[in-house]
Parts: sequence; C-alpha cells; structure tokens
Amino acid sequence: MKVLLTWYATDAEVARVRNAMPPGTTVFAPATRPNLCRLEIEYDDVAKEAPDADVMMGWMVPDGIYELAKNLKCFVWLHGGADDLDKEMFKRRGIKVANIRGANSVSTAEHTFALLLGIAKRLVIKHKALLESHWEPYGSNRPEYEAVILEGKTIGIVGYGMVGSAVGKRAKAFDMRVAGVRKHPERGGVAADSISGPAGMLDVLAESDFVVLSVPLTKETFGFIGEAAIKRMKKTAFLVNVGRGNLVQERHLHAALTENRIAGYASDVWWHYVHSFPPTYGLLQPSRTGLQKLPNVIGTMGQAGVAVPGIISKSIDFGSESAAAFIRGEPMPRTVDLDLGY
Amino acid sequence: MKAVLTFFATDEEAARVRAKIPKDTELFVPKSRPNLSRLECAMKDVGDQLAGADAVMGWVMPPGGFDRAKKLKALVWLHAGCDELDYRMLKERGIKVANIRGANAISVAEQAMALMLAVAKRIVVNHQSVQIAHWEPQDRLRPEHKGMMLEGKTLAIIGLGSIGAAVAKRARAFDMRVIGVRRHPEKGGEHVDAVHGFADLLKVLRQADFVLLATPITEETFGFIDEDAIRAMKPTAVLINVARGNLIQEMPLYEALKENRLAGFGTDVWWNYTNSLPPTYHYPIPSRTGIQRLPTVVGAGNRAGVAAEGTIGRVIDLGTESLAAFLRGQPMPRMIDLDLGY
Repeated sequence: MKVLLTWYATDAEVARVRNAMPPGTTVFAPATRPNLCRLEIEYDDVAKEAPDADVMMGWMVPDGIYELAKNLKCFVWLHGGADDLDKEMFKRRGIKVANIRGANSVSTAEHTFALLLGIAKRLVIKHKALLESHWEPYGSNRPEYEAVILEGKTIGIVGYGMVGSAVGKRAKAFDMRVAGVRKHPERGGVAADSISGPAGMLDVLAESDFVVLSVPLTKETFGFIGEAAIKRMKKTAFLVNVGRGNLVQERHLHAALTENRIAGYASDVWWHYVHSFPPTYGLLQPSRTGLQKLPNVIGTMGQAGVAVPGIISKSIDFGSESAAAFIRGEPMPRTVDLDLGY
Repeated sequence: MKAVLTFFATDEEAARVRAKIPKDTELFVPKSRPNLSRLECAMKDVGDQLAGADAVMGWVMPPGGFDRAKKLKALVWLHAGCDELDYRMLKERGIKVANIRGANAISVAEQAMALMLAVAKRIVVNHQSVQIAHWEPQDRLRPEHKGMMLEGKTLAIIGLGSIGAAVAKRARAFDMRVIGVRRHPEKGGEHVDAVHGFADLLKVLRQADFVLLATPITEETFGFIDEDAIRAMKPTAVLINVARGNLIQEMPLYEALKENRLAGFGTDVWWNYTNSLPPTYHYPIPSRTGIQRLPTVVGAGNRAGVAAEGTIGRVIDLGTESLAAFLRGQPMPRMIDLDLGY
C-alpha cells in the first residue's frame, strides 16, 4: 500500500508515519520547498505521486488531486472538522475518511474560556483604554466597560462533544449552571446540569447568559444561528464561537450587535464565503460586515487548536493510527460518518 | 451618633444603609453634583459634616478630611486593600478601621483567570491581527502570537486569601497543579497541591509556569517581586498581578519582558509613584517604563473589584454591616490590624 502525505513533511515526520505503518507500506512526502506554510501544498508537488496512492493524509489537498488519485481508498484529514470535504464524492467513490477529532479538544476548551472571559471582562477594550491612558470613571455605567460576573450565570453549550464537555467542566468551577445541547441528549453530558436535544436549543438560548457554539458544521447546522435564534437570546447575553464561522448568519449577528440586542460576540472562527460575489478574486477578510471592528466583539484566528505543545506531531500520530488501521483491514478510529458530516 | 458617607449614594443605596443602622443615627449623604465619579467626593461635598462625624464610610477621604473629622472613631473603607491609609495616624488617634475584604473576591478571581488566559492565548495581539486581517502562516507564528496551554502546568499563587483560594479552585478545573505561598503555611489551603511560607518564595517561583500575585501590599511585600524573584522565574513563565502594582519592581520586570526572560505579564493594577520626581504635578500614567505597550503584556485598569455588575451594591452591604456594628457598640466585622496593614 502507498501512503501519500500532502504536506512538506520533515524527515522526522516521515519516519514517524513510517514507523506507525505495517511493514511493506510505502510512505511518500514531497521534498520541494513550501510557499507560505509547510503544512500547505502545491498541486505540482504531489500530482505525480497521486495516481497510485491508496491512502492520503494531510491538512489540505489541492484542487484536481482527488481526480488524479484514481486508486484512493482511504483519506485521513488532519483536522477536527470535516466540513470542507466533499462528502458526496467520498461516498460515491467508496473512500473511507478519518479525522483527528479530540487531538486539540482541551486546547480549544481553554481557548473558549479565554474568549469568554475576554469578552465578559471587556479585556480588549480596557487594554486599549490603558494604552491611550483613558480611565473611565467608576460608576459611569457604560456597558462596554462593565465586566460581567460568571458566578451563578447560565452557560448554554451547543454541541456537547469533547470540546463542549471540557468547557462544561471548567464552567462548573466558576459556579455556573451548565445547559448542554447535543444531537443525542440520551447520551447525557459530563458536568452538565441539563442536556437538551436540538429541538430544545431555542429554549436553552433564551435562558443562557453565555452561549458557546462547539458544534460541527453540517447541512443541519450551517447558518442555524440566524435571526430567530439570535432573537431568543437575552439582551445581556454573550455569544462565543469556536465551531465554525458559518454556523452563524453574519448579517443578523451584526445587526444584533450594533443595536445592542445582545451584549457581545467572541470568536476564533470566521466566515468562509462561498457563493459570494465576485465568485473569485474575493479579498480574504474575517467578516464582510466588518464585525470584527465593533467594540463589543473580540476575536482570534483559529488559534484554539494551535496552543497544544507538539500539536503537529500529535495530529500526525492520530492520523497515522487511523491510516495503519485501514491498511491492516481493521476498523479505523475516528472515522467520519459521511452522511452526518462529522 | 453621626455617620458620613463620602460618596454620592443613590436614594436606593442610602435607604439600604439606613435600614441596617440604628434608627437614631444621623446619616449624612452628599447631595451636590459629583465631579468625575459618584464614588469619589471633595471637601466641599462633605467637609462641613466631617467635624461631627463619629464614623465615615466610603471609597475616598478628601485630603484634609481626617484633620477635619476630630471626633472620628471608626472608618469603614470600601476597599479590600488599605495601603493608602496612614496607619500610624489612625492608631495614634484610636480610630478603628474595617474594610470589605471578600466582597469582590469572586470578581477579582475571575479577572485573574481572564488575564491569565488572555496572556496564555495571546488574546489581545491575536485580536489586533483579526481586526487588520493579518494572518501569519501557521508554522511560523511569532512567539507573541503563539498560545500556551494551562493543562498540566504549575500555578503558584502568592497570597492564599479569599481571592487566591477562588483562583485555585478554578485553576484546578483546568487540570493545573496549584502551589500556594502564604504567611501562615500551617493554615494549609483548599484546592492546592502544596502550601509554602514566604521563605520558600524563590524555590516556588522556579517551578511555576504561571505566578499570580494576590497578596496585600505591606512593608514586607512592597517591591518583593524584585530582580532575584524575576530571575528565579522560568523564561516561559507568565506573571499575573491582581493585587497592587507596587508589589513588583518595575524596571527588572520591564527588562525581563523586553529580553524575553519572561513570557508574559497580565495585570489589573499599576504602579503608584510616590517619592518620584517631580514630586507633584506629574500626570498619572500606568507605567513609567511603558510596559503596557509590550506585545506580551495584557492589562486592564483595576476594573476587577468595582467595575463588575452588582459589586458596588455588595460592597456597600458589607461595609454597612461593619458600620452598623460600630454604631451599636459591637466589634466591627472585617477589622484591619493597623500593625499588619490588612
């Protein structure tokens, strides 16, 4: 069997993958020089090796490579989400897909809390005030300077998987009430005071002081935080997104933030514009409404998963485990359900 | 007996105080217009009333106020720290002092966690990048963009009072190892893995990945985080201060941050320049080294204790308890030991 790595792997990384594979497996990694980032790859650097690859593993795949990889049977995606994959294509061609969910769930949970506390304590605006030697008089009652206490508040966690439950555990130490929402409420949830199914989501939004989105982006969740959902939220509530930007309908969120219909937004994930005008040559930007510049918004850029020491090696190890299992004909850990999309 | 409030209490606040003190107490509440903040006042607002005052409660005492208040027997200081007070004068005159320690412990503990996570996850620098749509290749993040994990790290809490203990509880939910340093190590501590006395300070600093200062400022702790203490810390360590700026010697801290001998500093409290040139007429600034502008520093302007929802009410309630006890001739709760300074 032949495994093709779709990034500019170091010698040590190639050896790491090889050691995890059954004997007789060939592991190929491009040796050319990366453009911007060695975890990304150019078409020309893998095109020659793609046609006879049985397994592909990487953080990205250039357009056209799947078509060349006629022999592909297994694909290992070194991300926690699988939303940017063409699930229909994999299904049609019978290609099995695995991801590395869980590799960075603690890091993401910590980042969620950093964002949540950052917006609740208005840290960014206060840091900015400090740089400008501006000192808001106490008792001025300007909401953008007033911190909110977490203790005794309700946190609604939409998506109570590995990230969501790690957030729930930490929220309990802040003496918060934890309301989880998950597709399978019958599975319960560690540290949660209540668990609801998707049908109960709007009620959870209505009672929450903080809402965390830690749910995969699927056909069902794309844009599911729209006008109706935002309208159910409290005027004093904060929305924290560590799932995907496209879970939230941007225009409705922007309107709610500018009209102070919710208290703030903190996000590590931004919108991905497909079906947008112009269809190509679009300027890459966090948000087309300029939402990231509002005073009640704080944001980071996909930092949640990156803080883990050795996250690259950890992801490679998780991925190699799945690839090796496939090659041995065993059930693959972390298989993506192509119908569900995660 | 006569009590004077040195803040512009709302009608509701004044009623709450009145309801808890003896009926025959003469309570004075300033009615003129506040200058910058209703929690501050000047001599013109209360001066006439101070002469007959048996007790004063407030956040400030206007300059000259103590001289005017010849009959003063009790001061209820609506702060947790009393470092601004002239202990010797208060002792000589036999004025009893109570503070409101504990009223804002949760708010300050939450702020400490907010600052720790903000530095660890580089929230401010990353937010600035998002605002200007700057996106560094993932494998080449500069250190000031790169986050660090809390999980598995060691947090040293210097000062294990109500704030320190509340932080310890929260840090444990992040799976951190927590070491406390306190004046009376024999008292032990909840949610901590070990407790040391101040003699072990340097030994503890050497092991810590995060160091939190939550100790009162006294003759012993003024500037106790000095060059030796800072050199004892790991170059990957982060220092958080929610107590008083003057606990830290500013120049060695600035140099350590500048030379990357320390990975970050998060603070809610700033230096108070007494004995500085020119002795007066200088403008107040957060830091004379400009430490707040370094990319690894996150700061707020002491908003932890007061600028959170509901804190003012809680502070007044606790203070009123002490005031009422004094007026009834009972021992005041939360009395300050004027020799220890807290």
